[in-house]
Amino acid sequence: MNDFFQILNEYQGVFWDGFWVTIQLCLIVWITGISQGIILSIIAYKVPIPFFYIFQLLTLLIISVPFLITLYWFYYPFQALIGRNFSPFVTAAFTLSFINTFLVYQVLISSLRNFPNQIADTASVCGLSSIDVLRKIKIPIILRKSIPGIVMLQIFILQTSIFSGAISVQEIFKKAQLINSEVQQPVTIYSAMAVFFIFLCFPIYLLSIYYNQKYTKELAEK
Amino acid sequence: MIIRINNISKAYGTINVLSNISLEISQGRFYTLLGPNGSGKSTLLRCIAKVDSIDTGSIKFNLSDGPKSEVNRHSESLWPDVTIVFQHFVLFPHLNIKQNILLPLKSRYRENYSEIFEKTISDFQFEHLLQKMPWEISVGQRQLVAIARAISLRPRVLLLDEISSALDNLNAKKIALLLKDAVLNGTTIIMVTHSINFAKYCADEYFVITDGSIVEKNLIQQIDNPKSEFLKKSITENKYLI
Ligand SMILES: Nc1ncnc2c1ncn2[C@@H]1O[C@H](COP(=O)(O)OP(=O)(O)OP(=O)(O)O)[C@@H](O)[C@H]1O
Ligand SMILES: [Mg+2]
Repeated sequence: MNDFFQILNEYQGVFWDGFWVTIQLCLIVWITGISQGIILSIIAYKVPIPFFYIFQLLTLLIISVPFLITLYWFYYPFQALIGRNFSPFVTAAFTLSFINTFLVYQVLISSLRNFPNQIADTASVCGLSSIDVLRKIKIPIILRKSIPGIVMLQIFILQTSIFSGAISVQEIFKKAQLINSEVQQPVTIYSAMAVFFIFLCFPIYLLSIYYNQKYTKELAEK
Repeated sequence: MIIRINNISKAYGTINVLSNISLEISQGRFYTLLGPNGSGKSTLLRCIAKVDSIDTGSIKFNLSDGPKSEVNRHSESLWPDVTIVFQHFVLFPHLNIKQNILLPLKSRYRENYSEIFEKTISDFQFEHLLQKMPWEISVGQRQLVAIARAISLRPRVLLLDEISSALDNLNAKKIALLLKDAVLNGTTIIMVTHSINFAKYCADEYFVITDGSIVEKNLIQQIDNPKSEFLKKSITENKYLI
């Protein structure tokens, strides 16, 4: 236990640096991925069916490739191909957003496509304008159905972000490995990492479960 | 004449669901639509409500005469002057009962919606349901709320798709009286039902539809002398167990 606090104290600055990089990376990826996912699903919902199938196929192909491979692909071949160099951080942020976009898309498009039309019809025949049907009926219901799934995905993205250490992004896990190579205290350091992620993920999991239970009940009428 | 249905047809793929249906619906009358499962009753109501499209023919409304209320109109929309209570999925699942009723009311009546709301709540005795979510009340109660919501909008034409199927006798009677009251105030009702007793109790006239065609129409007093096979079997052989 003493070791633990000693290491934490001694390498405080390094941990903070790593933590800060991880948080920056995740914030960028959460925000861009979710907004792009929303836009993509709206486009895929509006386009004619054949295009929608193309989107679906593309999504399946993209999420079939393991993250590390996609990351390396964007880091080496892709940058060579377009003849430009991006920093590891930018590359990791780009790759993670790219994947997050398609994951969020997948969740949203299924709520959009499976939306029970009769509910929207009921709202229309009750005299709500089409804008109100969208604002007060469709969007709130779709959000309630999708939020728990999207929150879960954001935890997954947070955890996947540690792979970006592989292209030397100085995120928290990379820093932990560096410290370990100096002090050789794997038990302490990796336990600290575990605790760190539990602290970060646990509240989000609880939130997701809460929303899931609340909204599953609310939408149980179907 | 408030609705003139002129020779309409509708097909899903190669199957004709409605074939050459013509009907004239008078203002302030209560019609009931009878027929076996899958005969096209719901489809006909959905077409009249303009929720579904028709392939050929025309449906014309004459909403210009008769009582007029101070209401918001969204462009040229018929709704909710013409409105429908569906067979399923009748409430907004994310809103409580109070909001379920208030949301359309507020959109139709800018000012005096709270009066109408209060009247609806006391007519239907919903005081204890207001704060509940749709999943917290029974199927029959959900149907009652949907009917209350539709009546509160004071539509000119009210289309009802099997609303009595989940109601107990007392509630069915209560609803029947409220519906008759609406008719007395000028509303025109077309109601699909499988219960001949309920039809007899409420309606002025009946139609029978089988395989997408109207095979019989008459005053409700004549329903005990049916012409169509379906009604004959239903009544004389007592096929209606419910
Ligand atoms: N969306 C649809 N796509 C294809 N066929 C449909 C669709 N909706 C209805 N049908 C067909 O149209 C026919 C009439 O259906 P409808 O729902 O109008 O019957 P109904 O008289 O209301 O029956 P019920 O008493 O069981 O409610 C049925 O044979 C049904 O299979
Ligand atoms: Mg039906």
